[in-house]
Amino acid sequence: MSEIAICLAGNPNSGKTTVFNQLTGAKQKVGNWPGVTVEKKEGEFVYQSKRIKVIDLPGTYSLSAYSLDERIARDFLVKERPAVTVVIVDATNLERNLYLAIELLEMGANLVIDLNMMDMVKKKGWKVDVDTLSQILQTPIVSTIATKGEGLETLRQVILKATHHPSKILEINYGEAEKTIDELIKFIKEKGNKSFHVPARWLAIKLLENDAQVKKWIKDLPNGMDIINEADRLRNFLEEKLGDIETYFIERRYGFIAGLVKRCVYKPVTVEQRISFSDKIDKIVLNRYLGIPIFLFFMWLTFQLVFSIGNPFADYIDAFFGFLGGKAAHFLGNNWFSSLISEGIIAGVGSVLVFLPNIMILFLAIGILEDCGYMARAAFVMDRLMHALGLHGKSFIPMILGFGCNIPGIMATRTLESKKDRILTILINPFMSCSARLPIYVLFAGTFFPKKAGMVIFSLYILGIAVAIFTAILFKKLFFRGEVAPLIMELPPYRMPTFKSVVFQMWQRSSLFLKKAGTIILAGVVLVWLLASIPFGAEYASEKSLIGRLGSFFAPIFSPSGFGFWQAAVALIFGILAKEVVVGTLGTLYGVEEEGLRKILSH
Amino acid sequence: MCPLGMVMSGQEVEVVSILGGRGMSTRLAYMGVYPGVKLKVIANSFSGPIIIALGEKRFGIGFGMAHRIIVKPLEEKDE
Repeated sequence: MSEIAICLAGNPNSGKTTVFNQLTGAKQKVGNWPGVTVEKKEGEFVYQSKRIKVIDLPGTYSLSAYSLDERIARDFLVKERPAVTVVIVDATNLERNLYLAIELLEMGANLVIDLNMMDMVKKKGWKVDVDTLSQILQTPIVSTIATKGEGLETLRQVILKATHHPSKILEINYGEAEKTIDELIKFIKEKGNKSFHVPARWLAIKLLENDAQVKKWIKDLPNGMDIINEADRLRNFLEEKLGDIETYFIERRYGFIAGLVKRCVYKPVTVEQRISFSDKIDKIVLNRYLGIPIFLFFMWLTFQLVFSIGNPFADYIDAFFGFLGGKAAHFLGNNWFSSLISEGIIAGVGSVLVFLPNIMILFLAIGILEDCGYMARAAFVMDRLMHALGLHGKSFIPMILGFGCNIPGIMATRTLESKKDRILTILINPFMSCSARLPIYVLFAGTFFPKKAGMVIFSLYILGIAVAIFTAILFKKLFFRGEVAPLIMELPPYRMPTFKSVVFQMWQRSSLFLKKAGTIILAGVVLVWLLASIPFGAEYASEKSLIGRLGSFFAPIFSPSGFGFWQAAVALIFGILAKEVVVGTLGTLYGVEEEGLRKILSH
Repeated sequence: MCPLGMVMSGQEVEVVSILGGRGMSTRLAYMGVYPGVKLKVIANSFSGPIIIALGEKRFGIGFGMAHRIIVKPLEEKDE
């Protein structure tokens, strides 16, 4: 079966991820973590016995070279040359969403336009003349309602058909700049050779826009420097006449789109522009006095839910592993293998898996906050505060994700345009208490403050934030002086999160934790068990075992912190591997599960 | 004419110019904010972010940035 590679492009909040999920179903390769879509996600589907590989590009508004996401997307399009590029367009906002489609067509991409969210268009009483739009752009257009799966079958069909019918390169009239563009095209064609895979016109326009990435590509090609010099000369000539040429081109593109929309979209005239439901919520949520308390309330509510709902389930799992360990020990008899299974593997993995319910609920809550649209607002609520710390409001999203896991948190910093903001946000991200630390918090808070565990854990999170803030101010003063990049961000309308998408996200993120429990943690506990069992003859996990000696050696270092006993020292050593292991190690060292650990620790 | 940051909620304005470097004006242009564009201020609490409506979409603009976008109010349509 032959394989065809296609890719999905689209603005943020255009429903791109939903289309991707609908197209590829369960057959996805999520490299690391979806987080906010920064990673390259791949999936595939089979249609008419053709295997079609789908690559999900980062959500972008345009293909400029200003943000990392945009550069990733453009680099892929130019270098990988996908057979078809599907651009997902939010049909309720063609004026802005078509911009990306126009850029793609100018670039010579073989395009299929997916007009998504057609149900919203209907609801507003609008009509889109799809045929005329398709004719003008000379590109196939499919209408879909991705959330309901409508139109996806047609989309598959059109994608396959498009593989044999490349779309035409779109030429927008750039008015007074046209003559100069032609001049540069002629020059490029004279000097150029076959190694330019993109339309000469696009190349000329980008060079006139002084696009850093395109210049970098051209520079090393034969005659590259000649072309760049000629482009620089022509740009200076144009800018004398037209002002900043990039802005001029952008305006012309928007002008072209405005004309398109006028011809193809019918909107009934509304007597007065009603303040929509979303705006009303925003007035409260983003209020200068209420904003931060509301944000803290949501965070507090999340953690309360995590514990009040999660803990009963955790108890069941704990009881199950206790039962399993006992049965295994009984069945296997009294030998080293039995000890490995029951005291090593079952007790170790069990004491980590016990936290799965807490973690799943945490991810569920984060997923709901993301999907309903609140997460984007949170960045604004925190903007002023973050500004005072010398950080960007957008830095807050990576920090929130850090509560789930620091890895995606750090990955999400890619959406920050300035390198300074990015590095600073990465540096303080580890202070955000990630979910791997939750088992440890739960264990210790539950042991020492059984009545107020929720409150204590909440304070631990706040403490982490406080340390992060302090560190940020310090680093800012020392290393990263200067201005913070300005903040402008789209606020998607509030909507009911869909059950499917929230559960899907929760599962993807929780399964990452499960995978860790099955691999690193398992290996960790087996290693600990081994160290606790040798030299042979020493009592299991006693001070005479290898691990006991290691622990006793390191314990004095920790005694100023108040836990100078060797078991804690050993657990901390293993925590370097993965934070989750700490609880598992303590479980193994004492040969008990969580329930027993609490009793032992409180002494 | 005044900075966007000083505009009352509910007021419709037209962008006149953008103060600041070329990077900033280009970035704003890519988001759809450039001289000549009409937008509406949805909420402005004069110390936090400002929410603007650009067609059907809502954007939040940081306080600092809003003070570098110069706008002029659109009078009620003279019809």
